[in-house]
Amino acid sequence: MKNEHAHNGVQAVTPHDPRFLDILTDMVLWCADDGTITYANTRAQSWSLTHLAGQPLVSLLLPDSTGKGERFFEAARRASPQQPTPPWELMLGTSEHYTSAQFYGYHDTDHIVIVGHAEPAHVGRMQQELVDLTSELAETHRQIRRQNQALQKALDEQHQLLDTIQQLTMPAVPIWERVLLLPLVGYIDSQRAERITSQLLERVSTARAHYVILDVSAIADIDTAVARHLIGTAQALRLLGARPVLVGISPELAETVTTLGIGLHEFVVQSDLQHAVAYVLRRLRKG
Amino acid sequence: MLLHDIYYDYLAALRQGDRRRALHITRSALNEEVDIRDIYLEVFQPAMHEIGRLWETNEVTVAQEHLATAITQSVMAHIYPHIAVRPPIGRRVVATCIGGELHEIGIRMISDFFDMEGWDVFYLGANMPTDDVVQMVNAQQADLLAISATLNNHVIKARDMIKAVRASPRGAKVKIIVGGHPFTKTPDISTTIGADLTAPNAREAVARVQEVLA
Repeated sequence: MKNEHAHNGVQAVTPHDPRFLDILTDMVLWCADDGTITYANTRAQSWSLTHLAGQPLVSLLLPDSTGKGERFFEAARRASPQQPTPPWELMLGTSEHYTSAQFYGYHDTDHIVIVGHAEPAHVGRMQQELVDLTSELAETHRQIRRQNQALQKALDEQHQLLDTIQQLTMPAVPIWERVLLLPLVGYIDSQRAERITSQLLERVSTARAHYVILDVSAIADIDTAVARHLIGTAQALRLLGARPVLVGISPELAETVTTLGIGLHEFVVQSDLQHAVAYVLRRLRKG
Repeated sequence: MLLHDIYYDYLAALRQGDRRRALHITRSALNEEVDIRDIYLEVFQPAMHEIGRLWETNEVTVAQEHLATAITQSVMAHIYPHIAVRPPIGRRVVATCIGGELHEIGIRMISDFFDMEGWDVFYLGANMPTDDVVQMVNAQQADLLAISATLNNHVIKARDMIKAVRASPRGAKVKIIVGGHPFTKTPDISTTIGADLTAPNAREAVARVQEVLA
């Protein structure tokens, strides 16, 4: 510490050669015993808009640093040139653009010498930028989590709604003696297709149905898995002695079926429900 | 594990700048069913105060203080999903703080506490221009505006902000709560500068606001 002073030239200088003090990159201040600045070199003065001489030392500091600045001055007052204070970190500038500086000080005969070295401005800016970034990141993080919670809630509600719709779907309606109508509505996935099939087979067997009309005109979308399932259902119906009649095939379903390379020979195919009913009634009368 | 021990562990992690450990300590506490509110008020808040005090006594550098702030913000963001949010109660709060991001933690705690009670929280970051705050309060038809101020010279800015909000259409309806160091020290200034109420911590803030709005 002692060598550092010699290096900075602080011990060697006196108030009588102020030009030498003014070319130093360190801040050099002399204070009276009550903390009033009696001298400030150019570097120290550059940190203040008002003339520092006559002001209290803490006026040089950021308001955040006032309390700490007073404690530092107390320590400097008790320190000697041979054993100055350890470095104290104090803040300069404004709350928005502050710079931290290392100060040390000691009591020399009738005044207190304070020497300070501000860190390069970009270090402070970098630190501030980092805090800002962390703050933004943390806030974004929280917002995402908040949104996820809201989405999860919306999703749960949607699932409940879907469950309700599935429960509302009638498996099969008897429209004539031994004739069941199965209107398929909405989106059908493999799971739903399986459930519909098992319910349908149950109904067919208890109603001893001879004909089952499957209306697929209101189905949103049929993928190959569901198309295969339909074929399987038709086969099962045949085994139970019921004849499946398919109506409402959309161009998309027709395409899916041809792509699959499976024939619809298990089904009697009719263009719409009216034709299907007419067909079934004709067959029943004949039968 | 006692809250006090968690606090010491957490403070040690902050002093070492160990973000992972800070997060681990907090998660373990939550796993042991420690109330998240207690972690906020008995761990984070005193730990940050202690870091500030250590800076004051020249035991940590401002860089370490910045790091501690960043770590605590990050931990708070990570544990957010643990917050059991009550169903929405249809009340809205706009929250902002005067001064830089270093002083944001207090108002974030307030935001989370109101969040937990089912409020819709509109969090405005630090140093938000007064016009933006006024605009947000009116656009959201806020029931409450929460302003935090850390330093004494922030109080004047808070007063100006309150004045601007009061002069706006929602000004008569919105309740204004202020908090932070200057108000904890001298609670009376809160009413002098035109706020409706103040509170020393987030838990008290929620309780007092609910009383006023009931």
